[in-house]
Amino acid sequence: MSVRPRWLLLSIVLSLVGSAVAGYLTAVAFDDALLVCGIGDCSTVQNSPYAKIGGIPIALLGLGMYLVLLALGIARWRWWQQREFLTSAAAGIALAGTLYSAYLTYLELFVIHAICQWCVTSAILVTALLLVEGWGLSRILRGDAHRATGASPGARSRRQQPAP
Amino acid sequence: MSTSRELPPKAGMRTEKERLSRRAQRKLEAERRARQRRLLFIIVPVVLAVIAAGIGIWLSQRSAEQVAAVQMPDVSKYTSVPHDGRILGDPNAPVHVIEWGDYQCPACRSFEQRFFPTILEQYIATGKVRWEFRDFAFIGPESTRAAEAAYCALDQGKFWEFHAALYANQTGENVGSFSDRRLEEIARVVGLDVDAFRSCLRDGTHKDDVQQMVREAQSLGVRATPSFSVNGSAPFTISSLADLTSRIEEALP
Repeated sequence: MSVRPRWLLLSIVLSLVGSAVAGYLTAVAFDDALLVCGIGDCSTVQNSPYAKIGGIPIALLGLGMYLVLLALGIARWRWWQQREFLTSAAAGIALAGTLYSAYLTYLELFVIHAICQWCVTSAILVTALLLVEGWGLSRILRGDAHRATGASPGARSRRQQPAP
Repeated sequence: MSTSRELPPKAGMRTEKERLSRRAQRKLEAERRARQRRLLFIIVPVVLAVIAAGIGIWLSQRSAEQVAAVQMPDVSKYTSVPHDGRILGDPNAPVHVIEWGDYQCPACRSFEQRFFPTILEQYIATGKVRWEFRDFAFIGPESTRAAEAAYCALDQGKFWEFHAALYANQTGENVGSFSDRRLEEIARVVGLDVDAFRSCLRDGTHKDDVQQMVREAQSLGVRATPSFSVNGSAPFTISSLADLTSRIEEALP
């Protein structure tokens, strides 16, 4: 197996953590048995009318996004030769997620006046994913990803193996 | 000889030059195509991402603006038992339970709609418990306004009806569920004298009462809602209905 760049591993780890966070938020969104409402921790954000789009909790959409990013990460790990298209898609999804998270954070701060810690965690994670994917994409497009990481030479050597 | 000797190198040089320039052209062409390709891999996802996020934001705004019409819940469960002001049940019941709540709190609404009917049926209607509701308005300005409005309803003898209607019309927090205009609409469906209610709310008749009630709750140690106290116990929160009923059972003679 050829060496994969470290940023790809980081992207997979971030997507995994993001999936866990969004999974937790989704479980909370579907749990109507909430029985305590403490100061600064009241599911205020999750119970706001902004927390759903057409009856679908935003947390569930977030979970879907992280799972797609995770799938893209694993796909690149397996099929590195498809990296250009897959990284471009991952960066696009992470950008959409970051923009939407920025809007949600704005709502939390200036409209709902409440902060949901796990929502902020998710916003930070998706921003980190955007940075990682953006950086990875720039390396791939500049074509120096393989030189620095040795990923492509690995792939090349595999191709060369049958020759002798 | 000399010409023939000179010519081939000349022709060779020319073809070499041509080949070089052709190679350079091809190289340039390839570079141009690579640039375009690179641009495609950046511009397409950026454009799609901006469009997707824009649609998401637009849908969110639209769904938030659709604040549900004010509804009147069934309040017969409250009016069928003795009630006086903030107290529900037999005034001589052996167990006195205080509930602290915030009308914007989703947990309070959840408690009210899922568990309170059981408490009402098993303990309040049977004369075992006297239930008192107190305000711990802490989530935001609309919490305080809703609590003041409930006080205004209390003045008109319809505290519990208004109390139930507030929870039934909770649409989210600090998003206009309990704006003054919506509180008036709730007063109307509850059947209050709306003019009296409006002036009571506008003049802040019960502003100090609510503030004092919240301060008192704080000094008793209330930090979250709903909190309960059974026969003067320290306030506690629950994670299931049994947490509350067991305390009530213990307090029963």
